Formats: sequence, structure tokens, C-alpha cells
Amino acid sequence: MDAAEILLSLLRVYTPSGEEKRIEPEMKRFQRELGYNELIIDKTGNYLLIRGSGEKTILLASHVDTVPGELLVTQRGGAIIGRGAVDAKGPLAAMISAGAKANIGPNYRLVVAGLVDEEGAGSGALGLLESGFRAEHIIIGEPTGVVGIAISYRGSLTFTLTASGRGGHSSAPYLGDSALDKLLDAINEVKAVFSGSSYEEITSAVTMIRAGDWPTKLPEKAEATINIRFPPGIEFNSIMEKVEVIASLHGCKLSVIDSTEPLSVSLSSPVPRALIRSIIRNGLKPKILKKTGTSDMNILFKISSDIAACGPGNSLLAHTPNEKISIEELNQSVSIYVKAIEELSKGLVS
Amino acid sequence: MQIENRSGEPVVPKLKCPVCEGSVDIPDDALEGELFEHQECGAQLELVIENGQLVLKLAEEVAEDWGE
Repeated sequence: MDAAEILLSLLRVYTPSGEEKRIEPEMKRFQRELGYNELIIDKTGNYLLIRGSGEKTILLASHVDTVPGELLVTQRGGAIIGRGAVDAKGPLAAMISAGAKANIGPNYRLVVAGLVDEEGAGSGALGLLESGFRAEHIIIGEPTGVVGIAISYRGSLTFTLTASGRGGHSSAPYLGDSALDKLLDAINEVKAVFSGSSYEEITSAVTMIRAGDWPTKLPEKAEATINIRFPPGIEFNSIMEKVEVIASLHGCKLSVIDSTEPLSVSLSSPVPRALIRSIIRNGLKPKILKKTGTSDMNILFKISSDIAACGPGNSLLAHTPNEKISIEELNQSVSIYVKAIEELSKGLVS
Repeated sequence: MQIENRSGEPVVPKLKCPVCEGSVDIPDDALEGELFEHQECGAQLELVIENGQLVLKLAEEVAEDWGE
């Protein structure tokens, strides 16, 4: 069974977040037919395909869930089309294939993880972290165009600001008390304080706003959702403190929806270096990526700081009705993963 | 391609950073095209062979990508 066949099997089972259990028979089949020692399904529902029994662990982690929106699974002109072909069943298929092929050193155990809920709240990666899972080296399977190696992700803070007011008639706003006016003042201050316009700066974006229920009434309640992104090196707490001050100054209630720490990995760390060398040995030119978004890598970084994301697929096609991946790319990634695993498990990179 | 001497042994080169001109230690198993980060100035560098000489040049700019 090659990577294309693995991918087609994965795609034929539609698994939006929350429905990952449907893929269990396929994962069991991969374990049997590809020669993995065992398949563990952990408490969170993550699938862990395991080879070897050494003390040290190399983790190849991708995810089995997709965004919703089933697509007809087809193979056409050297490409495979289907929901998740790019994000991230393509990278997962390449990892499952590579994990079965690679020669693993005696001191190592290889785990290929198909995590759940990556497109949701990330409960799969969190569950793996909280289970006490340990690994020395981690490769994240996300679409980076085969030769891309992501070593830096921004952090993220999402929160709501809720303002309240007495309301009033819009004919005499100076006599009333508009919740929306308070909220807008708070929003403008957030935007002024976090006004960055590049990767290295702190940026803010208002993503949702809700206020008012009548054209001539001053709103008594107004709520906005804001997402702040920040680069590695910036302390989460320093941002939180500023947001708290702004909320308090404008009489708004602050509720944090979620937060993710940023991360940055050195190029000389074993995993990025093994991937760079493997890409070169496959006759390709490596490219370093820094991501503006977040992924399971932000969470799994807490298991091992020797981590990087790399995989087949064009990320611009992820989540679109046009998710497709070329079989050539898929096979290139298999070869890249194999050489990287072998180099890591021999302890040749440091 | 691994950087080797005439006897086929890996060479341990010490090269100059093109950004800050500081010294950069390159591992003895380095490959042509390998990327390194200069710890002192943070520059990302590519190991290349120019006119038969090993040199470090500034690596292609790190790409920014909002996708997964």
C-alpha cells in the first residue's frame, strides 16, 4: 500500500471534527497491513501507530479531522481530490507510509499520530500533552509545499469585550448612555495599542461585533470579539495586562475565549536540521517558513521544543472546495520523512 | 553534497557571516545548500560553493504563510 492508496482510504471516510471515530477501521487496517507493532487509541480518541520499542521517541503528528464540507473523492491527472487532501490527510498519509518504511535505530520508538479536533479546539493535541506523552523529536504534518519547514508560529489571544449602558433615544444621545459608544472607544484603544502591520509586531483584528435592536434606540448592551496575534519573544502576560487596563478604563467586561503561546525553534535544532538535510538529499531546496496562524505545533511544543512542521500540499488550497494534492508531492514527502527519521534515530544530527 | 577533503574526510569549516562578519561554526557533516542560523546576529545563512570555495550567503528571505 503506497501513500496515494493510504490517502484515498483516509479521504473516503468523511471525518469533520467530532466524527473522527469513523476512521478507526482504516487505522486498524494500516497497522496490520503496513507492519506497525500496535495501534493505540488514547482517551481523547487520538490514533497512535507505533513501531519499535526504544527508550527515545520520534513523533510524527498530523490530524485525522477536517473542516466540514464533504468533497467527492477522485484521482485525476496525477492528483488526488477530497476534503482534507491538503489539510491534513495528505501529510498524514505520507507520514503513515514513511513511518512504515524507515529504518529506525534500536534506541528509538516511532509514533505516527493521527490527532483529533485540530480544526476545532485542538483537544487532540491537548489530550496528548495532558496524557504525559513524551517524545524527544516531533515532526508536525501540515501542508508546507513539501520543501517548506515551519519553525515559527505567532501566538494568539481571542477575547470578548462587553459594554453596558442605560440606553436612551437616538434623538438626544447626549442625554442617554450608549453601550456601543463605550465599546467603540475600547475597540479603538485596542487597535491603537496593538497596531502592528507585520509578522514581528503585535496585531489586532476585530472579528465580531453585536449591538442594538432598533434604529432609534441607543444600545444597552454591546459586545465585540477581538483577536490579537503576537510574535515569539512577546510575553502573553504583557498583552493581557494591557487588555485588562483598556477594558477597565472603558467599563467593559473582559472574557478570554482562548490563548496560544507563540513559538520559535532554532534551525540548528535536530528536527529542523534533519528536515533541511533530507530535503537537500532528495534534490530539492529547503525553504524556511514562519506562520502567522497557529497549529497543533503550538501545543506539542510543550512536549518537545525540538519540533518543526513540514508536509506536502499547498496551504492556500486548505479549507477550500478545491482541496487537491499531487501524488508526486506526496511521494516526495514520504522520502523526506524517511530520511529525516533515519537521521534522527541514528542520532546523527545535533 | 557533503563537504569533504581530498581524503574523503568531512571538513570542519569556520566561515564568516556575510551580515555581521562574525565567525560561524559549521558542523563537519554539513551539506551544500544547508541552512544555518548565526547565533550572534540571528542571520539565516546558506552554505554554498562559489569558485570552489565554501562560503555562507544570506539565505532566501524567510517566507510568511498564514495557512495551516
